[in-house]
Amino acid sequence: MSLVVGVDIGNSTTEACAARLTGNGIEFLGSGLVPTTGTKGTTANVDGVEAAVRAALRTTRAPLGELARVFVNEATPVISGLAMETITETLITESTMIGHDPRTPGGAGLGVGITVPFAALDECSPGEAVIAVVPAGVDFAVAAKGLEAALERGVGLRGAVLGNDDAVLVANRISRVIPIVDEVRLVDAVPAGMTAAVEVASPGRTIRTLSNAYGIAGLFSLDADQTRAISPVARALTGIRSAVVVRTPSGEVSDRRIPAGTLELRGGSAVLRIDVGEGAEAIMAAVGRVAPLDDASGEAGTNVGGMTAAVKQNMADVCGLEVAQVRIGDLLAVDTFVPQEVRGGLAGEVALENAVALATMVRTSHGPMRQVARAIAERLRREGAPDVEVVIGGVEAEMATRGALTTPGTDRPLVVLDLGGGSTDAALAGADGTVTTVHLAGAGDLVTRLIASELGVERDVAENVKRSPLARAESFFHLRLEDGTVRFFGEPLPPTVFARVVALTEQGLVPIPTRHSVDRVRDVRRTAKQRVFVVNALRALARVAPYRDLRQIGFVVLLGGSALDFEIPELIADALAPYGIVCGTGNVRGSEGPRNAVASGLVLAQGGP
Amino acid sequence: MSSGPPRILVFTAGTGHLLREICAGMEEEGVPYDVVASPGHPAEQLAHEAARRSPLEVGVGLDATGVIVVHHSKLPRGKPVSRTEAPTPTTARHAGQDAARVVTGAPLTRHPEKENP
Repeated sequence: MSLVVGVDIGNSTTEACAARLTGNGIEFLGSGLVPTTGTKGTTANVDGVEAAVRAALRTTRAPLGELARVFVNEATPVISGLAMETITETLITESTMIGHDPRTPGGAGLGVGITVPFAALDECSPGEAVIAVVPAGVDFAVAAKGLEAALERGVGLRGAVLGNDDAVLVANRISRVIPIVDEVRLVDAVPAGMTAAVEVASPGRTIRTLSNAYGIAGLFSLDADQTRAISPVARALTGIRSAVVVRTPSGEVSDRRIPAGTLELRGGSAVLRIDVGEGAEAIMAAVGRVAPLDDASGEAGTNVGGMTAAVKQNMADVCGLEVAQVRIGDLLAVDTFVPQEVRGGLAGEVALENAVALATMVRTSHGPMRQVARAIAERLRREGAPDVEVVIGGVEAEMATRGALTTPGTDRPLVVLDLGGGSTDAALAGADGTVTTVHLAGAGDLVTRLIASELGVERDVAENVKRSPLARAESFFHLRLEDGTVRFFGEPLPPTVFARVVALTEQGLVPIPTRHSVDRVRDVRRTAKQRVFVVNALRALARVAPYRDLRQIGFVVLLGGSALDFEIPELIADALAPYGIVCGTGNVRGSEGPRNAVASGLVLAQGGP
Repeated sequence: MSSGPPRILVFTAGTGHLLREICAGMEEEGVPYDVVASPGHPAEQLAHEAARRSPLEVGVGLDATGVIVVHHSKLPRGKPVSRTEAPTPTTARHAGQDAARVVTGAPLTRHPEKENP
């Protein structure tokens, strides 16, 4: 009878499984889970391994001194990288338009006139059609008085543009209803003496004329060529409640494509070059054409080039290899968009720019695992386990399938999908006992990155959005959850979350700094998960399935941190249902959930057949 | 809570220019209000009393020392929506906007959101 521990060093967590091997079989004692110290597969892992071993023994109070053997997996370091290339840019030259969406514009309607600075309003003659431009320093009462005086003199005041957040106040103090747009940050840059149109939609509606290319053409008497030139303005102004268009002689809005550099894909038989700007679909098609991918590199000086170089360098450092020996093993491209402030805008306008997100990963066939095993043995002997032996117990993928098969209700052929942070790994345990594996780039970290860029929020906020359901604080005492149900609170909610979209994290309510609705944020979250995990699940299964036929797979067991997510397992299960596959989150040994599969597999490999 | 037309109540003992900005804040957000002169109490007490009497359950208190408190009738007296000491015209305007936003259910000004579309 001997006390053994199986240890699985993962990218982010180190898991341990303690057991007694007896003549009759295996008696499982306890499990441990701690954060991995250092990069997976390096001697820096020793601290984490010791903590995990102690945690596994602690659950049953088995003494460290009795420890006979520790089995570690053949951990192959996987290093992943992410990069984002923005491939479009919206540019405004000579202040053609103001297209931001202030919360409270004033008045309503559409007005066309010549722009006049507020200070020069006195000089306008009666009957002249004008748009007043009021700088931020002017008090609302003074502004209203000035505009009213102009109206009384018979000046055709058709609209106003304000620097302050005063539109409603001014609109309430003048005798005629005119459209007023406020909070224009760079109001001083609005040119004087130009024809301009101001439109404010009534509450609940969006502007109709300035968001229509022919509407603008009619207002400014444009010919066909000029209308073509102005059409990006109309597109930029759709869906908002108020807008200003100023007609300047050479002003325009343009959608520019930014050169994003090329990506070189090296396959078994061919080398393909593809422009990153062509988008994710074209990139993934190229990856498919060169399959199996041997290596990839981005053009120097671009984000993608920097990312591939950094990933390789990182791996070279970890494993003591030359950079030239390190190869990119897989690449996933995803189309996304990034809200970015429009260059040349006057009011902090934001446009959704197209972007391509790329995840890559490198792995080596073998890391310095022997050194790691030796270091673990030295540490544990010093800490009070004098007789311990550390053994490299098996290949990770085989151990994972062995552990996954302890999930009640599973059988071969079975695929383990390990949904991690940096990579998505799959292993097929065939009916004949063979194991086929594949490692794909793109996992939890890429989901976080997509959410962060599409919502324009910080990484930690995006992490909260990814992990937790959403709600909106509708009063100081109740939340409406994303599924429409309501939760009441006895204690008042803090004013910081009032009327905001919040993530229901384990630490409490975290407000999401966004103007988007709950539905929109939820949509971004779910599509990010779909584009990474569902896409990768299908890619991985196609690679390991017998004859590339998904119908040949009976069971899919989801493991890894992202298998604990509240919706990723169901998204994947939905996508696999048409193939007649049973798919669910693993429950290793009937008790561990999607955790501890490799550690348990290591122990099972010793005791069992 | 009293009956009457829907209004935020402002109980004030304070100075003119701050009161003007508070009222401008509510007006810009499009929420009606009434101003009631009520000297002699601290802002928190004024605001809580105003909120209790407001048909919209929201009150603002401005006391003689210039402190502005925004309150909701269902909140405990010691936990107002916001409290602004030594207000400037800008923060006074924000206090008025916040009072209105509690009514309209819009995020408060204190934690300016990113203005993404």
